Amino acid sequence: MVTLLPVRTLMEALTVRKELHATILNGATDLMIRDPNKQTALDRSSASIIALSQIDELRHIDVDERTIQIGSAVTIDEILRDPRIEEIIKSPLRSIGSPAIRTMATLGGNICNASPAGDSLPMLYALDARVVLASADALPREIPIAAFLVGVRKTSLRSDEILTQIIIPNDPFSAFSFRKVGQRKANAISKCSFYGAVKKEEGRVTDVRIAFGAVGTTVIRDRQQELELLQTSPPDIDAWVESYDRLLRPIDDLRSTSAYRRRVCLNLLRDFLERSVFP
Amino acid sequence: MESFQTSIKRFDFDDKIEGNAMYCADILRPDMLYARTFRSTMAHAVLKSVTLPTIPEGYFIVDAGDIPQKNIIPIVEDDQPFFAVDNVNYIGEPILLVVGPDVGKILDLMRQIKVEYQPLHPIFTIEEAKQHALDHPDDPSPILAQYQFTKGEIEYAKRMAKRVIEDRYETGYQEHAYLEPQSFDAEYIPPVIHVSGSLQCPYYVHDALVNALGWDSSRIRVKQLPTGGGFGGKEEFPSLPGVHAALAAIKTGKPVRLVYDRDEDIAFTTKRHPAAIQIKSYLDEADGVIGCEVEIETDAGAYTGLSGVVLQRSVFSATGVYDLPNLRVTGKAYATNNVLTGAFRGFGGPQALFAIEMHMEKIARILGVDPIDYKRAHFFQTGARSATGGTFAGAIKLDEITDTLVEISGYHEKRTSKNSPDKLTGIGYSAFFHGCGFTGAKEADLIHARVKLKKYADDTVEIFASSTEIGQGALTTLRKIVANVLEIPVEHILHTYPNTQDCPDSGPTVASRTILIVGKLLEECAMDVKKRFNEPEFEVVRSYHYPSYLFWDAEKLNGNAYPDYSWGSNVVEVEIDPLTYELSVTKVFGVYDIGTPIDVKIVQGQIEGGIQQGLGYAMMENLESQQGRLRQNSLTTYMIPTSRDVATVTFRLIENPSLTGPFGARGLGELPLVGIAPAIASAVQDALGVKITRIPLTAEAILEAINHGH
Amino acid sequence: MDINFILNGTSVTCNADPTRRLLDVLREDFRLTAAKEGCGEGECGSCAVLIDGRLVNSCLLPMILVEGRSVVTLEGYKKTQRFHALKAGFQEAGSVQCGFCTPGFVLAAEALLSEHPNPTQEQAVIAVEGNLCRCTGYAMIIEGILNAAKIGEGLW
Repeated sequence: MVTLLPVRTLMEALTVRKELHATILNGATDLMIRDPNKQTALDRSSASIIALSQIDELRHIDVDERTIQIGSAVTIDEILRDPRIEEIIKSPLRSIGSPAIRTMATLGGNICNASPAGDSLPMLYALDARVVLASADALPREIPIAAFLVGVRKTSLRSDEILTQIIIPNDPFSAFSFRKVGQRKANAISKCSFYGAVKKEEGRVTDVRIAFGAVGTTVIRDRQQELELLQTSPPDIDAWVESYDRLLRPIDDLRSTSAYRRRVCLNLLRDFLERSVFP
Repeated sequence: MESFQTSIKRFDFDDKIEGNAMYCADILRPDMLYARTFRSTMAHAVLKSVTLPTIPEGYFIVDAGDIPQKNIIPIVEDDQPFFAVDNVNYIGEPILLVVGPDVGKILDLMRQIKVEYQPLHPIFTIEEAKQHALDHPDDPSPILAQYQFTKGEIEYAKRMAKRVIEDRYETGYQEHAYLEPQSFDAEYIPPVIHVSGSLQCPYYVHDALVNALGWDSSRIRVKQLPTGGGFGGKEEFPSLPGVHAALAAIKTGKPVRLVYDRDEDIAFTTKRHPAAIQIKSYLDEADGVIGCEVEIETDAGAYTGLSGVVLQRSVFSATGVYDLPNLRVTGKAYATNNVLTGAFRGFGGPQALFAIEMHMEKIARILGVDPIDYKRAHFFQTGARSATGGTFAGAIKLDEITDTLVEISGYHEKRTSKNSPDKLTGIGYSAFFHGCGFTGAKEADLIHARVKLKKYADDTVEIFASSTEIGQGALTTLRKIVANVLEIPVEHILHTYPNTQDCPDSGPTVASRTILIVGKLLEECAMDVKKRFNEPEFEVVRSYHYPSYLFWDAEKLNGNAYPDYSWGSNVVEVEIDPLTYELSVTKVFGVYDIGTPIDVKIVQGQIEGGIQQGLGYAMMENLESQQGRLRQNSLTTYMIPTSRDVATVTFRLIENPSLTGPFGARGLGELPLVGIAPAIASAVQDALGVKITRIPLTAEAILEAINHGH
Repeated sequence: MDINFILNGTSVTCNADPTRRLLDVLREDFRLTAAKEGCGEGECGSCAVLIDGRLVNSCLLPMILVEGRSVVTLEGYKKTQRFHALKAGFQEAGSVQCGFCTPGFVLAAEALLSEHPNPTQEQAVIAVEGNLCRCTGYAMIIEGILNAAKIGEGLW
């Protein structure tokens, strides 16, 4: 039996989170999936739960020159409707689930689920998103998403913390590319995904971001690699592809094969580099 | 007949769109208990003991001991029990039911049941089954069914052959994925057991109850409820949950509801038979096929079920629409300890047609001839005899079908266009048929369909038949037939979901027979009614008679394998993404001879739905069995097409009224599915220049085909 | 606990465990059975209802998240003029076969049309990408929705 704790403010939520290690309920689209015994993860834990949707402070999107700040209880649908947010962020979110899922699912939830196949994650990694983790006793800590997601379904969220905001730098990229490959064209878990973004100034490439989803325990992104390869002159697309071939860690599973995932990711990388970066 | 074919509002439309149609799980039954099935976790084992926890008041266990008469589901071979007793033969085989008022408590009790198994050596593949059969020549058990027929002199063809072309083709499992899971209600109101549910064949469930209970028909009432899809998955399978629910209702004295969870439904109910088909063709010096040997192997799962009948259809469809003079066709259905396999739209046809269509195309490619030209040179023509030496009633219009198809699809122009670097495009073709009605003379020998019409004093007429509305429009089309004969408004015809006490057995709603056979009977019955229409109130019953122009020798498998046939052909356009190898079917063109359409919108619905279900079969419905367990067992992991996956369909019907069906109609329900897979595979071959011999064509399979070249 | 919400325009209270599914509350407590269980995991859309005008899968909605919100099921929606436009559109197109998926599609259509009164084919296809149908092959449903947009011009 699950108890809902009646919290309405972030402070109340943080207090019960700390005192009772209350479980966080956000959009519920993952937590409501039942096991063969018809129990959800919540039922099994006999938890005290906090519903983040009841906390107004977590429901805002703020946009200024430098950053886009998305509250952790903002739904995917709300983000997609916000005219201030560009396609460079929206594009991967359109592929999450289905319209009905997107009504309830949250960006905060997609992150905290820490699925290797999370559709928002390669974009968040590539754009250097940060997450804000609040707790009752300490100041909020802000860490890069890559530091927050540590493994399959594992985050570095402490038992007294709540993820309150996602901060995405409001960087003007010249072009981006997102491809998700599923077993069908809609409503499918990602087999592998590619996210790329490029900055050009006066015809020169000044920055490139590359991230892959569902081909490792977490998103594959390597800033060092991006900088080294950026500095290579003339640009060597084969070198890019070879480097990432070494970084990818795809597996065989129910949905796909390691060989397929690797090949497709490298194809998508090459295509992005040839079309958008070094045409 | 134009006004007759015009669509009318379906009689089930209002209820369904307003949410008033009461499917099984929608019905409020006070005092109802829930039944859940406790199942084997082993694929093959001796069931040594079952230890139950303490069962609280108000909860019950139902097992084989509660079956008064026979613990056997009467499906052809009578080898499948309602509940396992001594052995279990597949993962998921029912051992007992736990019944009670709270599902959570039931599941809790089920978790506490302890079963002691003594493992037996399981068989998980056709290869293992074949090996077992070779190793144990005196033990027939690995082969659940086998058939062979010959035509002409195959040895002659072999001697005369200038060229031999051979290949092996494989098709996979498919799950029906009807949106409404298996669902049954049962209530014992002495002396009658009432069973109602989501089903295609009320009399199959009735017969299963008679077998289990040993009761007279007057004590059994099976009623069909609005049914959320069947596709063959609710043909023979429901006999199992239907009897389970009944036994629970009898034991507990309360109404019982038995509804499967989706994952339970996918994992443990019947699936389409996987098949491996070897074809060897013998060509003469004119490069024509003069002989063909086909060997078909299917995975029949743990029990025979309908595997023999499915195999028969594969065997009879093995050489497709081609008039080949010398044949040897053999088929074997192998027992494995895998999931049950059974009826599924097409019923052995899709497997066989995939093989023969790909094979004939392969021959064409080797010879450098366009596949359509090569195939049509072998088509059955009017007056031909079928592979089994039977007659085809009326004209065969494969040429007209093909000409129309080539025209509407622009096949020849598109074939010569080049790929762009962004997309690999291809165009494919298939030609196919579907025998309508039960195999051989079974309409007469086994089914003896009967229908009844009752005319009332107010000049309304009611249809009594066991045909079920499962979405295909039976509650509308059968009314149209009767109304049209009687020349009265269709609103004056009454027809509701059937039950076995009020409706005679007109046979199951399967085999594309509802219009052809039952509709025809109703047409004849209506003519009898018409003659007496001025009488205030009366009934007329009409029984099926095997037509004198059909003949069938069940021993030699010679004669008319089916009462009639429908014909079709597809052209399919595909795109393959060169970066991700994802296959998109962009366009499907279909031309069909289904005789006279009874209602054009209903026909369109069956064609488009059948095409997309065939599309899923061909490319995304990957269903793998590993150690006797299906890896994909939810709608998250078993991929059926969404609105974004479907191809644009353009179709035409050609005019060729049937001599056998009502108002010239033939069967339709299965035809649109059966030719899609080879047309898609053919298009993929065209796009990539690689050989495709198996489905489903997932992106991974396509990448592998590219890597292996050819 | 007591959950207060608006159901088909009427304020209601239901006493439920916080994680009890809205689907079960609708079907069992309120006897509203148009929303159906096709999969129980938010994959098929047969359970879809509208929450504050937006499409949701009621099999994934715990009652706590329904507190204070407005739920519309087909039983409520069918009293509207918009429904009649959809009904006419679906009838014209032949969009209904077995009918099990139909309630979910009707509400998905409403969610679409309330955003896009004159949707393109593509918008309609995306709007129902989370509703599975096994009978129709979708085209006749999409056509039904586009018909409804024309028939019900001015209603959305």
